[in-house]
Amino acid sequence: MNAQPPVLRPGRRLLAGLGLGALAIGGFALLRWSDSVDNAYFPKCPLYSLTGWHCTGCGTTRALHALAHGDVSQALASNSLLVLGAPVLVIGWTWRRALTLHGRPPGVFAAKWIWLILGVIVAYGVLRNVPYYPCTLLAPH
Amino acid sequence: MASGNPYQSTGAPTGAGQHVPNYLVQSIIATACCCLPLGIVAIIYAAQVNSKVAAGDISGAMQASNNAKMWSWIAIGLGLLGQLIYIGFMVLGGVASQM
Repeated sequence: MNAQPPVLRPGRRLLAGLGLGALAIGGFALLRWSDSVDNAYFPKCPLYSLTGWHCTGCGTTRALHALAHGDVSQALASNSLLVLGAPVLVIGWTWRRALTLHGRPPGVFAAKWIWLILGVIVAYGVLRNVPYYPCTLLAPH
Repeated sequence: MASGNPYQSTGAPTGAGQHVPNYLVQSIIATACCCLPLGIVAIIYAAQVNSKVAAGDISGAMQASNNAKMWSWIAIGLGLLGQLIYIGFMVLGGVASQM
């Protein structure tokens, strides 16, 4: 059994971090200075164009645009799972990274949590397509 | 956090090196941002990595890890490809409407 090398070497890891940081700042600036995302400069979902299906990620660009303008209620209307769920994942991930960096391997978290995340993602993607109240609150609007 | 978890034997020669990445972050990003069911396949493999590591099956976990990595990149790649095709159609549509 070989020990798996880390995903990225420290130098590469720093570079990837800086790249992602620059991307995030650039993305925020672009969203902040755009009046709307309903134009050709922002990517559209090919799946939605083809099927009209509101998948789990539907409304992500609109939600981020609303957040960049400080409009939390519009962000929740566009994609509530992103607004409520992403911070949970980011905090969890940061917590585990911090444990690892302090030399305390955080252990393997039980697979049931990953199944739970998957279940939430799938359920959200199904429920927001149900055309009856209160499911209609989940669809981007 | 099952007992018999290799991570808990810190300091043991086999304990430290056996980090099996589950690519959960990439898998979730692929699923949510690329609108693709393939991201779900990647998340299923990510879950398998953790359950197999917990059961002590390191080689099985590494296989699941490789699958999680492969499927999350396929999902991200297809998402980007779909985006390019979409832009291509938009451009074609724009050109066609001018003719």
